[in-house]
Amino acid sequence: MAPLGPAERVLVSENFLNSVHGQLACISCHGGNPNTPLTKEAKKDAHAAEADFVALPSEQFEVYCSACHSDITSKFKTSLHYTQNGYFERFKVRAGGQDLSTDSNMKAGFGKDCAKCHAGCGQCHVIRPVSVNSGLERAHQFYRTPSLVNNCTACHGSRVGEEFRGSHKGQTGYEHVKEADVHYNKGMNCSACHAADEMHGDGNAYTYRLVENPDFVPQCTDCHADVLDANTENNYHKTHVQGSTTLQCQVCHSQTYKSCNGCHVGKGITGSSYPTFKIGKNYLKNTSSFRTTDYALVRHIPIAPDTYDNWGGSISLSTFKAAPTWKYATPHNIQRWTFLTDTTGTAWCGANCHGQFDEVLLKKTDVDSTYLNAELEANEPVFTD
Amino acid sequence: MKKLVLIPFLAIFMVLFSCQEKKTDIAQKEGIYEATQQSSCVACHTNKGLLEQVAEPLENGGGEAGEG
Repeated sequence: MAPLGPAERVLVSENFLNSVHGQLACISCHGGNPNTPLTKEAKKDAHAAEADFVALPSEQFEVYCSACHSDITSKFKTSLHYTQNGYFERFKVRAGGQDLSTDSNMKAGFGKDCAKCHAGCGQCHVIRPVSVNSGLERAHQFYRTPSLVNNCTACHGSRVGEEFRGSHKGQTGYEHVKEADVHYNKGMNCSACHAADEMHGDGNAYTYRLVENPDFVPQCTDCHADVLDANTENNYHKTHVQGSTTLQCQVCHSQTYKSCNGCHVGKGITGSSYPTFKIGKNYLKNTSSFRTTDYALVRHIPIAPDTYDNWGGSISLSTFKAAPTWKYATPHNIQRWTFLTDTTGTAWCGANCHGQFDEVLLKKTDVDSTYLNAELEANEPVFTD
Repeated sequence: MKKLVLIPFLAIFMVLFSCQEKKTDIAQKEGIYEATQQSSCVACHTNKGLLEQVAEPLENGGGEAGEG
């Protein structure tokens, strides 16, 4: 994603002025002083807090957006994109139930390092996300479908974005990556699977994206229902989708993907990211109606017992082991023929997969030795040995 | 004859309603909006040459991609 220049970030087009939103006076949404000279010196006066200037009106969507979009804003205020509640709740799981926002240092650390991933209406429909320094995406024109590159993967970039676009092809350790995701190659945008209802929420306050409303979570079988057909001639699907030991679709149809250890907060296991392909037990199997397989791909997430030490707060990850660090993953790099499903030149149809169990199954010996005991305890429900 | 009588009324009807602006519908919403007016906001933000003179570069030059 090419960054916007200083002028491009705030340039407004005639097309916007002729659009529905362009019929509103600037000060209706942005406040400020609309009667200042057009000079660099006067710029501060035009955008002064004393003049009630509002850079991002949609952060107050109940004031500025709800008059016309109340059907959405009434639900959005509890959505995970807006509240970041998933983050807070996952923190609690590892912190003995303590809420990080009750500690001023922790709250400040979150504000500095993590809050930029919060998204209001504007960050999907008019500007680029704050995490990439915003800027008007289409010269202030509003758009219904967010840009894959400049909105969605501006935040979901280092894993989902890179994998979906095939960015790892040719990189060391990613030799099994042959193509971008087949859906990307066919020109599908994120919204083809992740519809507006999922993004905006349903008004309920969910705590975790992996167990939210099943109606919102895209299922491969929404489009590929044939794999559930009892008369299918595909023996792999008969065995691993309909059989007694079931696999998440990605187990066979994903390519190598990225795991992370340390993160931008500062501490954590050394080595920021690395290529992986690991099959683990599906520890979420009984937690929702739609993640029902016995095995699933897992990736290491950037969390360690000392991840938040730099924040200087009083809350520690006292129950670190309460959730796996090798987390249920849905890599967005799907292909029909992968290094596991391509049987060309092999002795038997399952050779590629069953012959590589030592490499692809997550075992106790795979965990990082820096926090060996914590990693072993946290991932006990995921290990295959 | 009846048609000739109707012509002035038709003309008045067209004058009254044909030029009504769409913005009226929006302006009536909740009373928080005002009609569009020419301002220094529009004059500056639609002038790329001027913006290039007055807009200041970001310290970190803009982002590339997020963490998720």
